[in-house]
Amino acid sequence: MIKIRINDHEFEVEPGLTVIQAADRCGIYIPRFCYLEKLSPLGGCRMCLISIQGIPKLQTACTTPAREGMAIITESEEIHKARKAMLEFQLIQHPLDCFYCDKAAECDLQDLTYQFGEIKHRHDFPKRKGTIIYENPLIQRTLERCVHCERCIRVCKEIQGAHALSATRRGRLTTIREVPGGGECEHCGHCIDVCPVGANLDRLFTYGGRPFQMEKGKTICPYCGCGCTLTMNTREGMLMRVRGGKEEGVNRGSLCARGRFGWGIVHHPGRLVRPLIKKQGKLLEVEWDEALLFTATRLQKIIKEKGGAAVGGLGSARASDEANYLFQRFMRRVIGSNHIDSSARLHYTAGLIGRLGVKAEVSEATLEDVRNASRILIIGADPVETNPILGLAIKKMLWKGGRAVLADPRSTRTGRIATRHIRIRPGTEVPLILGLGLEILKEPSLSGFTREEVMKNCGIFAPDMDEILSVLTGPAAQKSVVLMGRGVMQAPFGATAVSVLLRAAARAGASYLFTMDRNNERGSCEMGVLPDRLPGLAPLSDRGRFEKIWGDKIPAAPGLSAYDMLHAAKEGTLHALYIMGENPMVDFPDTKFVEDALNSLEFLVVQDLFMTRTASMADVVLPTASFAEKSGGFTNLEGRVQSFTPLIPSSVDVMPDSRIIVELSRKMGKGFPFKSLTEVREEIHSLVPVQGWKRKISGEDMDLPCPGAGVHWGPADDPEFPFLLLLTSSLYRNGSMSNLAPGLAMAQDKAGISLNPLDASELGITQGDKIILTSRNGEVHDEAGICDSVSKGTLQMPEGFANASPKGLLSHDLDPVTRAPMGRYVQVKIRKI
Amino acid sequence: METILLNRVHLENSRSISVYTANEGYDALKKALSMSPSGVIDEVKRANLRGRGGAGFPAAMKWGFAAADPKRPKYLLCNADEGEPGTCKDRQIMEGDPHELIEGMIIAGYAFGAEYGYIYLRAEYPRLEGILEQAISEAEGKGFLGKNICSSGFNFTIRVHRGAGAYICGEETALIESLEGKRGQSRIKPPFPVNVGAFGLPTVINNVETLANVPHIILKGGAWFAGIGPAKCPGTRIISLSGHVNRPGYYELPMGVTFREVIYEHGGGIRGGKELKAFIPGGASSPCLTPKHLSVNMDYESLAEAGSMLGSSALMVMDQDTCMVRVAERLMRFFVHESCGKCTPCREGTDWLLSILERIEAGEGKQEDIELLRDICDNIAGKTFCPLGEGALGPVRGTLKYFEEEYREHIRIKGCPMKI
Amino acid sequence: MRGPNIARAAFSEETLKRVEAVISRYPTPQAAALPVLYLAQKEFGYINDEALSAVAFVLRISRAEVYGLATYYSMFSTSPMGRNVIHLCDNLACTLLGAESLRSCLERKLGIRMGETTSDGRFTLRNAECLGACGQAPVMLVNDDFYEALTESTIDKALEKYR
Ligand SMILES: Cc1cc2nc3c(=O)[nH]c(=O)nc-3n(C[C@H](O)[C@H](O)[C@H](O)COP(=O)(O)O)c2cc1C
Ligand code: SF4
Ligand code: FES
Repeated sequence: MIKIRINDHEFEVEPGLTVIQAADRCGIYIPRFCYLEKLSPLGGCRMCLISIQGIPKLQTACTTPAREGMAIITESEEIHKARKAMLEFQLIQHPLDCFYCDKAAECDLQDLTYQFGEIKHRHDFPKRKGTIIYENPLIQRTLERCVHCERCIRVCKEIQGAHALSATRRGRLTTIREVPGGGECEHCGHCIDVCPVGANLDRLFTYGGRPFQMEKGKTICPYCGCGCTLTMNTREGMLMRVRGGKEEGVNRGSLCARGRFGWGIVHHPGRLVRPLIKKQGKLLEVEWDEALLFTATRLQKIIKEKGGAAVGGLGSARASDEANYLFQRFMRRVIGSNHIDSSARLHYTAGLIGRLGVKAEVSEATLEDVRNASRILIIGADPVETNPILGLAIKKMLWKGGRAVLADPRSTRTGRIATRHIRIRPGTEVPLILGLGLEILKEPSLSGFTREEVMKNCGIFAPDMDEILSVLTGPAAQKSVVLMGRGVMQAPFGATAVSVLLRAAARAGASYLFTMDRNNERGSCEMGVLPDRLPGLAPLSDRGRFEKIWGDKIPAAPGLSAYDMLHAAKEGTLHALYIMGENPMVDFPDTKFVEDALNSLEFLVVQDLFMTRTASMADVVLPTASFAEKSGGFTNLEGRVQSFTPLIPSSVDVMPDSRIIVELSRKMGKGFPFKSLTEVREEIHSLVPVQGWKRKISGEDMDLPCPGAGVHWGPADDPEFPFLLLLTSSLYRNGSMSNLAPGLAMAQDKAGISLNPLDASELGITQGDKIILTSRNGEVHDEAGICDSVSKGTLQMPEGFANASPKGLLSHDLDPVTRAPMGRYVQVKIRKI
Repeated sequence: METILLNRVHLENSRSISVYTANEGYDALKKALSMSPSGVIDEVKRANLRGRGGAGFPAAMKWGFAAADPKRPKYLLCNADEGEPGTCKDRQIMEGDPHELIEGMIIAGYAFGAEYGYIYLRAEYPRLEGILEQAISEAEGKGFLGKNICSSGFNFTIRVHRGAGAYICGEETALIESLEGKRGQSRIKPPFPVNVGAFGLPTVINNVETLANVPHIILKGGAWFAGIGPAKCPGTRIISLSGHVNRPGYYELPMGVTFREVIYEHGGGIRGGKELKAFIPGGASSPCLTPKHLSVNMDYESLAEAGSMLGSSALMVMDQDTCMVRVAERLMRFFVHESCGKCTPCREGTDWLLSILERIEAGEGKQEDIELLRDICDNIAGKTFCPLGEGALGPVRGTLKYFEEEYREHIRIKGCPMKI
Repeated sequence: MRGPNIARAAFSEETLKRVEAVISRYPTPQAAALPVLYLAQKEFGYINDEALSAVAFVLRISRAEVYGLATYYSMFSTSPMGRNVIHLCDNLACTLLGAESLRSCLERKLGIRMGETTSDGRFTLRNAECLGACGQAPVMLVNDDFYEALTESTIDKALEKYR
């Protein structure tokens, strides 16, 4: 601690601060425009002038280091005059259009001007007219209001790592711009939050109201597994805008496009507002009572005739912990079936099983650990797109001098920022990991191939292998993180690979993390939405504990996983399916198969916000409340349990997922004892304890099968379908819900198929041409984009766009261990239209 | 009279290394390499060589700071941006005797332990890029540059980096930013370049003229150099003389020469036999002086006393028919054009000053404008991020100080009393 | 507005070689920004969209940053320029010795105003802030050549040389 004097009072502050930081800590406010704690200092606005004893000139508080014994004066006549002069300079070109500026009443320039009192307009020349730039679909830039604090430029560069903004020209002509035509902005909107004036504004909010008309609330983002805290402004029951908040949540004030601009789904005109029942092939609106009674009767009939095992259920990687808990309790206790699964099967279960298979102590990384890591090994993941805030943590770590080694066959945003992007051959994530295991663990079970074979078949060289290995060897490995994503989860023997890498990490003292595309993949699994696991991931053999509390028998045999249920449906052994908040018709691979399976059902219930493709096939559709209208908890990718409360009242006739399940149970004569969500939460806590802020997973030393010499080295050539389409992810989409957010559609409306320029010229395809891809399973058409970094012979297309989804092209070969469909690539042929 | 720097420029083929080595060239380097690096710094300290770029900071002191920082590698940046209007002195050295600069750089690099040197050359000297590169490759060919120079074990490379037209890049930290490929804007200090400079490493920035003096100091000794001109700032100065004199050009004269001698003896007096009205002693940012200052000596201290500054010793002379409002307006236009736009007072204030000067010159000035000009100057002074904004006040404050009546007349007669 | 599509480096093979050579002279690729922008300007005529992408690609910085640089430094132009660029100094030393009348003389002869380009694309006329030849004022710079102690009559001769 050092001693300083501010305005003749003595203070102690930590060393290494600037004067403005020290003053902030001591509760003394110094005016500012350009200074912002989280950004590097600029010293440009000159508002923070102060005087320091012994120095004749005024100094800027934001750039002057506070030193032991320094005597600082923050208010004097000279200082006041100087600051007022800076304000006068700022106001010379400012348009003074506060009457219709969205920033009014939360504008630093307005507030400071008011505070300093009258400033005479001595500048009697015409103002230079800046322009309003509408090039960005979501952010309006009103250049004439700009005070040149460059906060937006710095936040874009230093926090978000997008570098989409720059000061352009110089002197009086300096303007803050994106490059004309844009293309680099990732639409995180952080520039809006940090702008002290109305120069960067949220276009979704334009004229949305004055700040004092806003009610403010917080919630957890419903999109990806990062679990960001959103600070939401609402007005008269409507969401108005999202802000990052002050350094809050795991995201520390940063957001991605989905979090900031994706809230429009809540007020989407297509929201379901009333239950529907299919009558003579048509879905017709009915009252809740009728819908629930109808559902209950039909289900009861099937259970009675064919047994509980004739009914399956899909919980939701999107729904809250509570809803998922109730859902599996309903399935197990009221229906009497263990056929319970969700879309987490596709993207996460391999990670979970792999993790459960490792008994050794292996620590899970937090986002903060990633920020502080010295090295990160990323395999088969694109966190910058799928989990942008995790992406930011990686960028932060890189800026601090860390290294990121990426092994991934695709050209991705993560590849662009990685210290080293090793382009392994498609589909070789698992053999690569097994090869690493061979080197590090030297276990006999891993033999069957050699290091040379691994390198040759993965298409990498010895230095690449050494670089990868270096993350997990040596004493520095304690500050290493391994990160795996869909490239591993959706590959054959992915679970085995996960367990091998986790054991290697455990040995090195490194920690691990999985990317998670959906907000509650982890929570849904941990709540027991799995065919063979109860809440807290307890094995079915442990069911006595649950039966005691639930008061009913739980079937002893494990149920079917998602695709096995679909197969059973097709084969006529599964008669009814209850889907709570999933849209397999869009989000699951092999659309045609999914469609056939759903069509074979006798009875389909879908609970959703929208009339999705899946819902339109249902016999009963039950409308649910959105995240903004209900309470609950989500578990993020770190295992952090975060709860949220309603921001706005429910629209007309929807019910939260959890209440629908409770009501239905009652209708089926096996009502739950809960009077409130709090009681549900208490029961969950009694069965699945939360330690501190997270739920721990402990491993069990399972024996996961090792493929040995039979390992799958990626796809073999298929002359009929000569191109390999690799699935990627988009910052602007994850799952079908994101397709209905108007803000996200503005940021990117087409998926686009990227191909190598050489392939393009051979096929006579140019940028923007419409092309059709055909696989053995289906076809899809979209615009072509020519891209250098896509390897020759391969194509890339993001999943998640409902209007052009590559999911239909995929087959659904199931992994023997996880029963998850393998879905990262597919062989196709191209045709131009 | 003794000249130091421009001894060779009149020789035939003065740029070539053979002419250079035939005239004592690279002897200093050999001598320096036989001394210890700190011995070289001491010699330059004895010479009391002060920076010729504008601020007059002792060169040996800068080198000493950089030498003391253990971080490696270190950089020597030669400031050849020569942006101060009226200045054309560095060009003479680089054009006529590039090896003099290169030898100076190698010795300086040896003295404080730099491995890399860059010459930041102003964009407006495109031909010089080739001249310097030619000289560098000659020196490399002879083993004066590159690895293991003259078998001393010392390695040093020099590259030419051409700027792209921004006056502010002459300021040392802006120069570093520009060298790093960024918008050339000044950096926050501390840290100072001697510790955290180019690419985050210890860096010394010296003007061309400063460095060109170094070989001579090493060869003839610091004591010899210290005996030339005033004790507080010994040596010579290349004065760029321009404006209404009969013989404009550049003159290497001992530091401390009077303005009278420069203007009337070397410059041949005012053109057309007219009267001297005012002169700007040290480049655009130095406030103007008047005939009563003719006997002031051209050195840092004397000029500071006279209320101006030596700057880059660019002497611009104005005769009796010159409109001083016009002079201020021209120079202010320069500063407005060159303000980097980062800090509020410089970006907005200089533009405002220019608008007022333009309107006075155009005969649309208001009575209050004089006070307003002064007040805006006060509001800028001492509050800008870097010295450019402060320098921009020189022309207004200087002309207002001695020629306020001329401003008032513009306003009174609604026009310029003397068209230039 | 698509994800990871990075535009190709659109430099010609020959320029690309020079670009690589230049980059190797600096500790970081970005430090080569100014020389690379000069090369780009030469290749594309001015810093257009293609040049921005090409430069950004080789320097490994964003296009926005390149745009910031290209608009900061006076020597780069983000709009088309004539084959020959005339910079006429109108700073004080030159103004004192008649740069004003030279300016109108040039404007008259070329039929364009300051900042414009002749319709045949032969000349672009720009003003310059001090070309560092004040001892020989007034001065202009045509491409890489200095013309000093200019008079109205020497201008003609000078312009003759440029097609
Ligand atoms: C706005 C501004 C422009 C400058 N321009 C130049 C210049 O063109 N050439 C130069 O040598 N120094 C220039 N300087 C001074 C440099 O910042 C620095 O003091 C000098 O290069 C140090 O070298 P020296 O110690 O050898 O004089 C400028 C300073 C400022 C504030
Ligand atoms: S004084 Fe301010 S605006 Fe002017 S050049 Fe310096 S930093 Fe830039
Ligand atoms: S807050 Fe210190 S200069 Fe802007």
